[in-house]
Amino acid sequence: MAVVTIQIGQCGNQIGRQLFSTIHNDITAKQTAVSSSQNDDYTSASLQRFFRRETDMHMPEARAVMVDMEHKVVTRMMSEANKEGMWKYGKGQQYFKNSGSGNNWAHGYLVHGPEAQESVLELVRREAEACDRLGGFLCLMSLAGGTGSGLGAFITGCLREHFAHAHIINQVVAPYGDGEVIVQDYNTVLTLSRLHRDSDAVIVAENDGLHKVCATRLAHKHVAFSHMNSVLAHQLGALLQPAATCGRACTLSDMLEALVSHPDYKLLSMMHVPQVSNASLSFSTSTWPSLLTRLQRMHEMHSVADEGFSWAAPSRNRSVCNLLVARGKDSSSLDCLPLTDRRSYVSWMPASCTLSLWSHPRHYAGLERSALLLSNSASVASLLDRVVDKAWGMFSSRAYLHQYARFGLGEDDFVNSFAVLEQIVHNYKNL
Amino acid sequence: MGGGTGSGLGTFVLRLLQEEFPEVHNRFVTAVFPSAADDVVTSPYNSILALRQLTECAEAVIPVENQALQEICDKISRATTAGGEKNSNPIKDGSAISDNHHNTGSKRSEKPFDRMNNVVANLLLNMTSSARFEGSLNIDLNEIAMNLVPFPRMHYLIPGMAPLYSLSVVASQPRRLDEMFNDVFSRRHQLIRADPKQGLYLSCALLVRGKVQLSDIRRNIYRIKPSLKFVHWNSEGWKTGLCSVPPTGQPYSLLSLANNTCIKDTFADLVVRFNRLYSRKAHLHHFMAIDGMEISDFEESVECAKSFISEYTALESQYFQPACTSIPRLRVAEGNMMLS
Repeated sequence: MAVVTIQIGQCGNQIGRQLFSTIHNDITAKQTAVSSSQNDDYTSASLQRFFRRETDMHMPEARAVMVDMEHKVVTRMMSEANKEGMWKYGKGQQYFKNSGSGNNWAHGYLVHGPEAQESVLELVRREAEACDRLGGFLCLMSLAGGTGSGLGAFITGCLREHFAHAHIINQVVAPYGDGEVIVQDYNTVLTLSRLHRDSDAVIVAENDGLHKVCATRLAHKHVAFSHMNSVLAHQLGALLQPAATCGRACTLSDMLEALVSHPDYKLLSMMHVPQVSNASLSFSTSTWPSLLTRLQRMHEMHSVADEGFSWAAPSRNRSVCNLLVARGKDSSSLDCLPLTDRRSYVSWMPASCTLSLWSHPRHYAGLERSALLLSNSASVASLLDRVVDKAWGMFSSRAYLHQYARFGLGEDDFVNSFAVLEQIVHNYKNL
Repeated sequence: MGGGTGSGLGTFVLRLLQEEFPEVHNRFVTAVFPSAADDVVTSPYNSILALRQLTECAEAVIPVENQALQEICDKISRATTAGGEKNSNPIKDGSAISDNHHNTGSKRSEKPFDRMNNVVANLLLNMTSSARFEGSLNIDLNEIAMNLVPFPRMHYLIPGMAPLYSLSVVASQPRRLDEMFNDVFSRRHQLIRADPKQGLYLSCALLVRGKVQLSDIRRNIYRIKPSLKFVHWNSEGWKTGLCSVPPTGQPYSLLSLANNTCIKDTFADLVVRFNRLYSRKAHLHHFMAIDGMEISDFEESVECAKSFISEYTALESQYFQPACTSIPRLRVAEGNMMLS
């Protein structure tokens, strides 16, 4: 199974580069605690999934398409990959212009989108055809900017139209709550309303959460985007690297089947333990019960960071369903009891479908045991509620609307997008 | 704005750009507003007439006032004479930014407005730095216009800079980062005579250059925010840009562009000076002698300025009564969406 990654905008491209590096480092890791044949199976499956190469002599090339409206970030990401010297981006798999989108969703969606459509689809087709078996598309983008959000939403729609049967998963990054871009809430509302229609699953990561992980658990004195990107890449790697369930290899279909069984509930949140800095890596060990209890606590408290819980969390976190990916010794025979409490799942989900377990005995990223929880639950409601509230406040004062109208996005479009988001928030709040 | 060519021909060119290149949306104008002690007698007329054009045709206007620039230059030279000549000049003599063609310390053959113009040049350099250099949070002119201009006519962005420097001279020892953030919001660091802390912020951009961490910026925003008044629907109305290359001779610098209602005082000043002349019909015949100039142009322009001022005042009153402008959110009814 192969996954084609589409990196859109500054955020998407930076995360993508980090993701491929993380995966490649995992592939070439020495301490894996499995037999060499098991290791070979894993590494070849992973290489197949994310990279292509003509022969063993060639450097692996990432199965990726890089899209941005200006060239600085794409060029820098390519040169960073080359500097690492372990893998590289395919030549010609980049699309960029010189204009930028100016944080304007309408500019990205209504102007740059149609202009870029032909070329980007061609690049995606090229990657897709190079796969023996296409597992699906992974789109990486931000919600705040103009390119990631607007062009990203448009490209997702194109993928849906042209690859009707392919699985499309979006990894989106929500900006800091206290503002990176002034119109970020408008851009978020507009993007999510489109993605909810066109994408199969949307994994929502928040800068606030990632920042907390870096500042508290990883003890970075000055948290920079590169730290946060590497945390997110680490989590994505834990999710997407080869794993098995019920004796057979896991695919993106399995993920969607496990998590997105109802079309109204597509928003997912990711949590990963243990969270240790590189310095403490060799000193830490964890047992499965302790890891699972921690995950369960984080899940209840809607916290991506394994620390600093606000005990004023309103109620038990209700989930539609969850996926647990465990990597390390004895992961397949895990006792998932802490996460299977029937009361924290909705009543209309059959008990056998509430929690799925994927596992692999191999160490991931130097961690003896690690666990990732990908959850379809009400965690996401508070973020959306806040965003819609602020965006609506601006909208009712008619602020910035002329900037969007200039590219053809009218008030009706806004109202429709708000309607979609209010419905999503309502659904999740009433789980 | 005060002269004839700049204000008249300048705004005509602006209109021309709008008509000939409609798809190029960003027309940024750096406009020098005349000070009270201006040597051009008819500058109030010119300014009010030009103001109307600027409000209608420009995307964003960065107003600058000679008086404020003069005060800044005075401050810089006072600080250096007080500090002595021990500042080793980090800028090469003869390089374009320093405009220092002779290798002497205090004596330079500079023209009268050189220092003031240099401050404005630095403003423009800082504004475009992200487009020219790398950084972790790039911000280009499109983004500035998009984020700072919530309503099409309210596009006046008040510039504030820290540290203050002109030609090759820096105002004082390099300040601590936090002090720089404080400075950039103070009255003395604005390039027009206005105090943004008294007015209401619609939005604000902070363009940082140099070795500054994102966390420092966020920390300072958090710290300063309570002392500033923001309009209620944009309480987090900050746009940040971070460029890794500092300006020559400095470790870091900060430029703030604030869309703030205190600009209305500048306009009100202009209107007062305009009326002083207009009520006597002084110097009008020179303007009327030009073909195509009507008395109604004067009337309309000053009316335009006055209504513009009242728009800003209305926004300010909103600050004290936020509830009356907000519409309740859409409600989900079982089965269908209903608008409340």
